[in-house]
Amino acid sequence: MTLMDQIGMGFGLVAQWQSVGYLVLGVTIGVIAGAIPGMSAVMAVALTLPFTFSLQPIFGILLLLGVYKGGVFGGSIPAILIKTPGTPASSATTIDGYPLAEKGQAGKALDMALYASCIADLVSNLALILFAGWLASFALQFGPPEFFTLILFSLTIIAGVSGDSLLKGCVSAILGLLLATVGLDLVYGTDRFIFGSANLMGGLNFIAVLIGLFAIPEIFAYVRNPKEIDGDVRKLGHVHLSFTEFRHSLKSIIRGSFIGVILGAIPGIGAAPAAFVSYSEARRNSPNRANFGKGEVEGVAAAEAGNNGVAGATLIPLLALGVPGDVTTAIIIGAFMIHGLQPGPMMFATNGDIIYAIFIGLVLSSVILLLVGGAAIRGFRYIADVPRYVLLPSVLVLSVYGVFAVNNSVFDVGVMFAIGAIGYGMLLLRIPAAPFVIAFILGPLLENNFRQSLLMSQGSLDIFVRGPITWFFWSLTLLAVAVIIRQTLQASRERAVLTPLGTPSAMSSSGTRPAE
Amino acid sequence: MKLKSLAMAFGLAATALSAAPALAEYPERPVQIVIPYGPGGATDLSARALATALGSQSEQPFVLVNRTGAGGATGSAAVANAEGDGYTVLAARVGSHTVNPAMKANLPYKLEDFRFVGVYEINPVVCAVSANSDIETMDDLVAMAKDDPAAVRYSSSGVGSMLQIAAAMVLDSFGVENVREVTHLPLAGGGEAALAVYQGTATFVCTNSSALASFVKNGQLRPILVTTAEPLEGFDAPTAASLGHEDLEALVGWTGIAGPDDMPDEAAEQWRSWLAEAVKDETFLNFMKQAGSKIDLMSPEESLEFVNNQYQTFSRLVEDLGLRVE
Amino acid sequence: MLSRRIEFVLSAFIVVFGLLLCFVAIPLGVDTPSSMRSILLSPAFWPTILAVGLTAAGVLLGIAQLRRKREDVGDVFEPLVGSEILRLVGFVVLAVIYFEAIAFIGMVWASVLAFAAFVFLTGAPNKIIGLAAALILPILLFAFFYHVAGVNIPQSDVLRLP
Repeated sequence: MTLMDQIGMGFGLVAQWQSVGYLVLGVTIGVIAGAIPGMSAVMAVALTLPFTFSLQPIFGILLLLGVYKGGVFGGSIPAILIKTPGTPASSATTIDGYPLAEKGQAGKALDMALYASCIADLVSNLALILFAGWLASFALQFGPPEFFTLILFSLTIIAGVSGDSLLKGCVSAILGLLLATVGLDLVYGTDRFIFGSANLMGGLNFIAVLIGLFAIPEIFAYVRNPKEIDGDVRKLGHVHLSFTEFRHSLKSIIRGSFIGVILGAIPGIGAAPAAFVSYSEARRNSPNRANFGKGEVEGVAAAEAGNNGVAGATLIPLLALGVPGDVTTAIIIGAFMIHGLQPGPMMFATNGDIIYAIFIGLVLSSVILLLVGGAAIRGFRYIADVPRYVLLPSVLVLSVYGVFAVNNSVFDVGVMFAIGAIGYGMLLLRIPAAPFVIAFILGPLLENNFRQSLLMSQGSLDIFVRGPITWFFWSLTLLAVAVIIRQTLQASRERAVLTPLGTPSAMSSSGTRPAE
Repeated sequence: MKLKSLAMAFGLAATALSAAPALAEYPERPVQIVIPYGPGGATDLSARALATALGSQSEQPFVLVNRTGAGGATGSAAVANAEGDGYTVLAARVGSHTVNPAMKANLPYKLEDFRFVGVYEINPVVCAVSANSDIETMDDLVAMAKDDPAAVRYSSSGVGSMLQIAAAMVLDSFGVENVREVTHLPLAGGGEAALAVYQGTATFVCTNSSALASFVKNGQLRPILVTTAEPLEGFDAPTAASLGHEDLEALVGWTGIAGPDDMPDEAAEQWRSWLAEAVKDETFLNFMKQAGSKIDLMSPEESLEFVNNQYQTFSRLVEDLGLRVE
Repeated sequence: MLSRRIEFVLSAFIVVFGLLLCFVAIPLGVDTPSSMRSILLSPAFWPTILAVGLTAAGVLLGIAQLRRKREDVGDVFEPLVGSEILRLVGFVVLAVIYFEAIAFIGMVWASVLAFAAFVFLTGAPNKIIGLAAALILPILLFAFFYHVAGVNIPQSDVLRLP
């Protein structure tokens, strides 16, 4: 069979109406699941898997891929509208998305999230089709030492989301890192900060911490001062994204897509770090840097491009090597194997038609995401019109259900409330929450890879400079730290000059928090 | 039929109105199966496939619940402490019920806290090295481990996982003296553990055949040992018995259903008959075969004996090698 | 940045917390095995670094306040007034009761009551709409999570929903 034959046959498989139907169904399920806090793309894919057993292989696989893609985008909807990230990957989206919603520009933020997601998705799919083999062999170079240096570099983005005070950002990040150490020790299996509680053995639930940190403090703030947002402001909720704004963000979207593709191809990183790295790069390069974190539409674009850029790329190790890159693709591998298909290099020869059908289906899924997502945000946008006295208690109840659903644990609901109280304290003391979340995600990766490297090298630190990838990330880290120090010194000099007028931060922060 | 549903409706109404449960036929409400590992893992897929096969037998649905954490301990502890009414059961697994109890003194549950109604699935264990490595046989690996133990690394999905004890048991059986000196590399999950061997981060891994099947078929990993008595289809490697290590046949993965120790007899009996029917289901059998597992339903007594034997074997090994977590 | 006084108290609090971690929480809460290959591999190594880092950040935060010009008022912290404190305390109590009630009356009815209490706590302009939402939303969420997503939402024997 020639390549053209296979592509032709692949086309034939996708061109059936059922293929498109299952893709649409999958994306719809995914968007809805992603939009419900506590339901992640992984859960939605796991729940859908048993239904695919009785379907033709290509239908089943397209259905699951649709669920996955939709789920990654769906998380941005509650992140923007109610400051409750539906999935960890969309926590970067809340940083600018929610302030926009508060200003009555939820419609604009949602539009931007959708366009950025679809473009990044398309870039990611094209990268998969064109460079899968090359990216996969690059990604396999990443052992624990390379991971460690990459994560160390990623931690420098904390400076970009710290707001006015870098020191407070560091405090927030260290608290996040500390909280992530709760649980059983990786290397020795001993207790760390468990204090005899069986519930703490597995560590703190990620979603519980996330929702506690973002959504619950908003409820506290409303309880303190129960006031509706100005009616005129709310009417702006239906403002759409203008083409100029889109064009200004396009560079960040493309950059974010590539960051997503590269980080997504490396097994074990996931979408959340990609979103944060993309966000921080966009902020660093933007002329509107000062507006990031206060409702900058480019920030939403960058975050969503970063996390959707991962979606196609996680399939790279799966299709090029037969290796699942994350939990979701591990489940999808199950859908291949139940039909006797073996993902990997040989599949191009044995079942090339299916591979090309998947490729065509993936490109199609980006378009379907645009349509389904567009319909979804048109529906969900009305949440911005719900009066706050109904909306905020609803968020409270929804958070409780959602956090429970992640791991079926009432204890996690308690964790969410406790973290929520801490989060409100941090809000009052102007300690930014975003560094906490980044650190909580990256902390275990950093520590585990550090210790795994030392286990490999039998205690020798030389392993951390064992190859070009480690050198590359070390130099990036040094460069980033140098830039941060220079900027901090510059900022403090500027502040010294403008002493009596040190008010821009005061104005903007009270402007973005009308609830206080 | 009509009478039965009427009686059931009556029973439901009775429980709804009064807190005292009426002694109607088990089950009168949905039965919750707790899976102590995350969605998509071997235990999860196995339990979901089982629940699908069970679905046609009971009028009440089975609700699957993932409670992840601490290598299966969080979910297992939740069931051990659950009410013994038969409405909460556990998909017990080798890691949570024989390896963890053998290795960890501070575990919040004991084997005696459970009532086993049946082990239904057995997974063969396979040891594999990277296809690029010089190691062709177990003897090569053992020679290497004897020469410089710390330079040999085995990957696992964490302390107290089946992967850890499997590698240690194999090395011990093949006469490696300083098993503790061999480097144990704990990773985030079973998939990562297999991937690490392919990448060269670890030297070898011993795990369920299902986790290695795709690597072996793609020619990325080379199997060097299977622990079942019979050779395993798709894995071109000698059995432990053929190399004179029959003791390793105890090293198999398994999944079973267990309730809290005070689970009523009526519920346990019902489960036994459900399982007996489920293992005849064509789709279920087919799915488990694709996943590389053997369906072999044991009676409650056999299950308990099987689990206890494995626990004893692992405990002795842990004691001998000093692997116990302090 | 808040007023100097608040920032000072915050930095002092961070330093004390960091020291508490170093000398109390880590020795008590982190079990270290008796034999280890390297001190770098100890389970307490990483938490200790973090605790030291936290203490250092607290000290630096204090120093930064000392160097700050007096006129630099920065952000205004609106002090909490009586009614606000009352409501916040009320919400904390509400949250605790909500959490505890799940075990007794199930998640659905606990949510209904918590939602209703929230409506009264914050003095919603339209109580009827608030209470209607309080009844409908938890039941709708139950229907979705239990019947569609297959999540076993905890219920008690009190008014069990199908």
